[in-house]
Amino acid sequence: MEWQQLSALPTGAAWFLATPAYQLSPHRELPETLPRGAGGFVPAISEGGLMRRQWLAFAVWVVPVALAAAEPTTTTEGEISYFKQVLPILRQKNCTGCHQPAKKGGEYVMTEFATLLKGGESGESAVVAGDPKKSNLLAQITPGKDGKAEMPKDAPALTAVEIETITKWIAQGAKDDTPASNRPQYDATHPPVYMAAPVLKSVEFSPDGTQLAIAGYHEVLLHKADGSGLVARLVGQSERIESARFSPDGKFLAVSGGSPGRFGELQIWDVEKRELKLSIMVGYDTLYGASWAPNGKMVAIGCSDNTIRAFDPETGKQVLFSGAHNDWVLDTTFSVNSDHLITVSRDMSMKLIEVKTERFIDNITSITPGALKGGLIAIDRHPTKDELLCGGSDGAPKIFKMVRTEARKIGDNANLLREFGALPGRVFGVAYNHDGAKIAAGSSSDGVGEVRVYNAMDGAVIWKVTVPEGGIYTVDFNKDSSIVAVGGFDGDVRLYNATDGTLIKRFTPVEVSGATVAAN
Amino acid sequence: MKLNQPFCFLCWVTALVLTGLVLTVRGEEPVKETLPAGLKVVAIEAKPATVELSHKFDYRQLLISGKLESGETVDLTRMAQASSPGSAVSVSNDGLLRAKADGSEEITFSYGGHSAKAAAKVSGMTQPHAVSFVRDVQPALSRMGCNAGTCHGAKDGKAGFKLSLRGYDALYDHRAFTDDIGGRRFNRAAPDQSLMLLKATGSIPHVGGVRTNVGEPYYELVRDWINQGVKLDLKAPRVTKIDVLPFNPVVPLPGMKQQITVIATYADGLVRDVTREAFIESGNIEIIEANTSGVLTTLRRGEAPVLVRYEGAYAATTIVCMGDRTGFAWQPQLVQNYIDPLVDKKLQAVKILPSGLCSDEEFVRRVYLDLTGLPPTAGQVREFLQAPGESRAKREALVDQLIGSREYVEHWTNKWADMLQVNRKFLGEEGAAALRSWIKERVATNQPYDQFARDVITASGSNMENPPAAYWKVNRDPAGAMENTTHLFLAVRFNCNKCHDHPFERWTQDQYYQLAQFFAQVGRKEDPTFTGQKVGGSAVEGAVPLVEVMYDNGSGDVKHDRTGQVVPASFPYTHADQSPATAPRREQLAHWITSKDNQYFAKSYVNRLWGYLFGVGIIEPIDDIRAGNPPTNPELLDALTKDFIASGFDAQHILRTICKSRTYQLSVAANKWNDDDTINYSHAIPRRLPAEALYDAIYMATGATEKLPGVPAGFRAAQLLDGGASVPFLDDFGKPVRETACECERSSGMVLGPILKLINGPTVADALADPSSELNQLVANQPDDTKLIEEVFVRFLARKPSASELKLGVEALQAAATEQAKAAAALAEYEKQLPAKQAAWEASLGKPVVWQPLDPTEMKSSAAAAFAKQDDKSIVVTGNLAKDLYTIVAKTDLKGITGIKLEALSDAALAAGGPGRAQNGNFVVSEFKAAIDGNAVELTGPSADFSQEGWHVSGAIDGNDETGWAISAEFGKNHEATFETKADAAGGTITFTISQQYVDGKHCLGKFRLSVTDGARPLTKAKLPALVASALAVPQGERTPDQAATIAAHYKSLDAEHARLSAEVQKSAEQVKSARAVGVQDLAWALINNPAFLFNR
Repeated sequence: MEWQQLSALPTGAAWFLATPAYQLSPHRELPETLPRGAGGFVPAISEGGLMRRQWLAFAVWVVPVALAAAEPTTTTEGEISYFKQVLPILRQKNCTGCHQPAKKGGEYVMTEFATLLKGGESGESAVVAGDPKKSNLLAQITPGKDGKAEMPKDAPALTAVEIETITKWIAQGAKDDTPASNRPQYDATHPPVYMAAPVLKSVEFSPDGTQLAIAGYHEVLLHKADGSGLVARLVGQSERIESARFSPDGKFLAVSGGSPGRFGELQIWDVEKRELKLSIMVGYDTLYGASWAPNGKMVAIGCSDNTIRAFDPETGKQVLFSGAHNDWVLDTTFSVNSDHLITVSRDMSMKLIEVKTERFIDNITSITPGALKGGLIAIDRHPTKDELLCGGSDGAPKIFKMVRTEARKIGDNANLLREFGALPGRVFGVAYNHDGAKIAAGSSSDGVGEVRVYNAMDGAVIWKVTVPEGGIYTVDFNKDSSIVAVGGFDGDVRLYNATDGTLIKRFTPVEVSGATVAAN
Repeated sequence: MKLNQPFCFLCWVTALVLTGLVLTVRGEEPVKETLPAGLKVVAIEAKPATVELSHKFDYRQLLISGKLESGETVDLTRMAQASSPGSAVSVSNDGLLRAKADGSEEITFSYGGHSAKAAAKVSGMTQPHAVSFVRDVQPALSRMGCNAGTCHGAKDGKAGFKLSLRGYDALYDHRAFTDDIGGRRFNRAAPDQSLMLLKATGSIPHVGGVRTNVGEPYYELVRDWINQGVKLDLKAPRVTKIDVLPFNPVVPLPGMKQQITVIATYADGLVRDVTREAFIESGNIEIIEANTSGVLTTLRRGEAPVLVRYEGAYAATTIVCMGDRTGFAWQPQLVQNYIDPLVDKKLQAVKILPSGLCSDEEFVRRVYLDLTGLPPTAGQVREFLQAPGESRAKREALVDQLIGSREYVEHWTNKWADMLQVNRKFLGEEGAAALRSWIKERVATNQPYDQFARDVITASGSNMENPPAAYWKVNRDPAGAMENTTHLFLAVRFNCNKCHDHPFERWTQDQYYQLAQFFAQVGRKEDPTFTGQKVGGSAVEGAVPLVEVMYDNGSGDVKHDRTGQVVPASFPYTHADQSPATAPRREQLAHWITSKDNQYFAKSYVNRLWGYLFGVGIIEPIDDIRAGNPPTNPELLDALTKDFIASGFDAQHILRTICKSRTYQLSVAANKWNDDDTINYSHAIPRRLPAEALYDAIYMATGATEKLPGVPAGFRAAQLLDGGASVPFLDDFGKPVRETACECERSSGMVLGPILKLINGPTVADALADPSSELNQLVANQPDDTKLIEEVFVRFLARKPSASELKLGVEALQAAATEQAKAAAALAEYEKQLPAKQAAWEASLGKPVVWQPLDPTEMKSSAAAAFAKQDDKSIVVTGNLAKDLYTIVAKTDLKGITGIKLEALSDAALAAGGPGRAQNGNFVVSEFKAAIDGNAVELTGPSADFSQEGWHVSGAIDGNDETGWAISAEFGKNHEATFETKADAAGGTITFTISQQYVDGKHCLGKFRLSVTDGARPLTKAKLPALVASALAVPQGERTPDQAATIAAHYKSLDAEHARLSAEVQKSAEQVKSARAVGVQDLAWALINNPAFLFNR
């Protein structure tokens, strides 16, 4: 017993008294003293302390035990299927949690078949078809004598059956048998089928005012501007369309989107020919807020990897890259003479980037922490001036001037020109009308949408309507500012009289079949 | 500084626990379970006997139990064989019934030849089931772990996606799933492509892994919800309660399992099985392990609470694992008051046999320490032990005597001073002193506890005039004051729910702010008497006035953290005894808290008192009442609570009652049937003395005078105002800093550092060393060793020593005398060896170096100086002073000359006393040579008692006139240079030449002498004192007794072992003088460092 040893330490007095069994009273320690239990000295353990320490132990130890118990019943007889047997193991053991494009643990990506075989930073082939011994993947997952394997990191090793399955699959030639039908594939001849109307994230008039580009599922729908009929379906690879914006001359449509968690894509369509001119893959998640430079020479996008990029819509070449934001970038716009890019982000800020140098110039919004509640979601530029209209989580549309003219003071918000009365909830869409005299904003507040048109000069609300069917995610004025088109949660496009807010037309831009879409 | 951030320990722990739980979701039981050998089932039963399932997600967990021969019940759910089911339901091998199709069927469960039936009826499978976000989806998301604290429920969410912790905020979560980023996470057009499903199934990369699979109930549920339009039904009826079945089960043997089922009742009357979605957590995983399907595995004998929570509802059940108690037989126990039968009832139920009563010696120390914070004095011990009468009556009389005594008041004042934070940091010294004396007065008069609490809660005015107002000075912000007050007077922790609904309790975030409103309307202004005086203050917090006046200002509200709105003031639970809503908020609050109808107020205080006296509360920790921490003996706690209320909240009455119970008076010694019990009061549990008690006890037992910083000598640690003056000993042993009301501030553990400090530190050493201590007086006044030892034991341990302890003690007292005799004998023994050692030493010395001065026969100066020979054979030089070469001739018959010495001697007649003739008394011997009978003698090994820097004596024999021996600035003193001959030289006529060529022609010797020796080489070896050397020069047989003695004394002084032994003798001689004092101090030291002293047993 520690106590006896202790009292025996300085034995000068050579006294040993009868030391009956004893216990220590429960110590009611502050939690901060917990590490004492781990490395320190506590002769006996009280109930409370014990519990806490065991909780820790629980967290550390129960994981291996529980998972080890989950022995799969997969058979390793016969031909091993990559799709049915191997891939589920990689997912189930969460290999793909870290070795995915967005994280690239060890520079190794297992979510694509080619890179799964190729391997990572070690330079060794992960999978050598027909030769398990040369396949580094197996070396990594095979446990040593102590039962521990290199991978999965900090988690129990794969079971013998799982390793055998992978080994056999490699020995049999490491074939990819993923069926082509794994995901629903759509093209112009096999357009998407809708079980229900999709949420409308983007509705925009063409510059000539004749058409509406509406973001659908796997496609952009071109409708007649008055809602009288579908003109065309631009079906593409990306399942989710975040924005569809016409070039200044109306000939092209820039579509940003992608498939969440898999890839981002910027599409450039030739509107007349209904042809996909360019598909630029960017990153591993959807792309936001495409915008055209007024000179038509650039298309900018915001990315969920917090970057801002711009591309040449002719060649697809990246012409601008900036990492100034520290959260998802949700919308972009250019200055009047195309020399600056302005972006808004979930990080609450609006940033100014110089196009030529790709340099971050300024935070246009206040940099004071907490000055803005939540992130900024949407931005539009005045048709003729470098003034920027934005909306976001605080519900209040605001206009900022692009260029700072006052000396910076900590905590100022000097670029703010006007703040409009707040809409309920979060503002998802904002737009100037053709001469900049009016602005429109759409918001979403727990299942209810609202559209407002304000006088841009004095901030007065010209009209507002409530949309009880759901939040509004996008607003746009038509060419002569007579109509405001909005879209949102319920999937319907609504056309309002821009002067008084009367509903001119409401239509569902897709045909809802209700038929079951095959699940993978 | 006070902690501004509420520390949410539970958050942290739960996060860890959840990680475990979440990852165990799909753990299947690989091994078929069997009953332990020897258990014979005589009947089985299925519960419920009828099951109705009304939609495709409906299920029911069945409980199949068996009755044993012994009458005990065992769980057979996973062992009973189900008849193959028909088309209506499926039955899993762990007894889960799921709906398959409309219809009815009967399932038969069989085990060991017995069978039981359950009838199932399924309906609603043909109609679509409307999925509710609140009622169906949220629990499924919680079970999948999406909103766990380690996942998207974390403060900042994960990977850009945040949910409310454990889904307490349905609105927020619905927004996150359906509205964030414009509805990114669901896909109504193609529900299976919804991001939330693709992630949950791991179909696309998900750091959180695979949470469900396509086709599994949770997947289908969420998919149906998306398909039905991701609706939010905030008004959906909520869970009003959950029931856990079976309640408080007893499992016969460790390793056996028990299925529990959790049934939720909703506000609209709906009752449904939620076993698979409920969170089931063991309160002690040493004893019980819980899994996600509601199976509890017992690990060893004992009992443990199991906390079940589901959608904001909480329930706890206590599982007892009986273990093998073969041979146990209850024996009727002595009953001293109502406490005892209630304790016995529990003991009997869990088959524990209590220990017997403690001895009177144990009792007297225990009760003194518990009631007065001090051990009894030796006198008090004797008085109690020797008092006539029967033990029980004596004990009860002592309890009555101690309760209310001066020390009692001091001790219990301290407890409240801890909890009310009597701390000069917040109150200044004056304010702290005022509050302490206010408390003291209340303790002394035994003010009813409810009045005491009311006085604190409603205190107004200046905190100098009305000291309890200081409570509101210390607790300044409404939220903090609310947390502190509920913790203090209700033992309820209202802090985790500041940021989210409480994870372990039913308290919601809304309730936090509703209750905080009662604390929001307290005004504080400076007391004009103390204008301008401040207390506290730091870089981030401004100082506040030293004394403040508290008042109800009738306005002010706190805002809800989440909504930013002001919520109405309201109590988290109500009782019949309400005050008018028009009263000031603090009045209403005080009325609500201190009412006898408040379910926690009286109960929490009796539990504290019980915990103080037993070391373990009936609810433990004693200030943490919650559903997941049930009392170990609810009936006992209820009885005490009732008694407390009936007595008019009389704390002394409760203390008296407890101390007079048999339960309190049990021995610390355990028996076979209770040695593993720490929670049922079957034997006393040793408790380490609190810091102040330990300090005071050491000084009391030694009878030394306490000298604490900042207070007069003799002031006890228990009397210190606060922790203002730091006493390392008290800090080490856990004296609370008084910055919160938490009992956890006082530590009672044992850690290495403080123990070592106790053993070696100054506190004990000072107390023992105090020459005026009673202990040291006792040594002087008690001549009888036996009685002395007995007295010491009584002083320190309140008992007489055992026979063996006494023997050891007496021996220790006499140890010093024995030591001295031993040391003297050792010295004498050693001295016998001395002559031999001395002879060996002498032999090792060789021929002693004895210098023979030479009598010059010729003296010549090349510069015509004059020489005058003196009686001591030295030569004085006078006359012409210039560069010179002295030539001195003498005769010697010494055989084997080994050395020559040139002495430069001082003389008053010389300038500056000489020895040189230069103005400053210096000289330079440039070259020194000797020749015998015309043959040069080669000189080596030059050595001088002093050489001037740059003029080393070696320069005198290096053949170079530029160098030489000089002695600046050691003028006026004798100096000598010695040289060894290279080879032993035979005597004859010896001619010395002393060349002195220093440039100024003045550095010549003024007085000098020449000597030779035949002593053993090297001449520089051992410089023996001249007297010793000359004595040694005399051959052994011819020495006078004086000479012999001189040599012997000199040798002894060189012998280290002799010196050591002599010192031992010297030391032990001194020790003998104080032998008993030292013995007693050693004994006292050992006693202090003994559990019997450190612990209250």
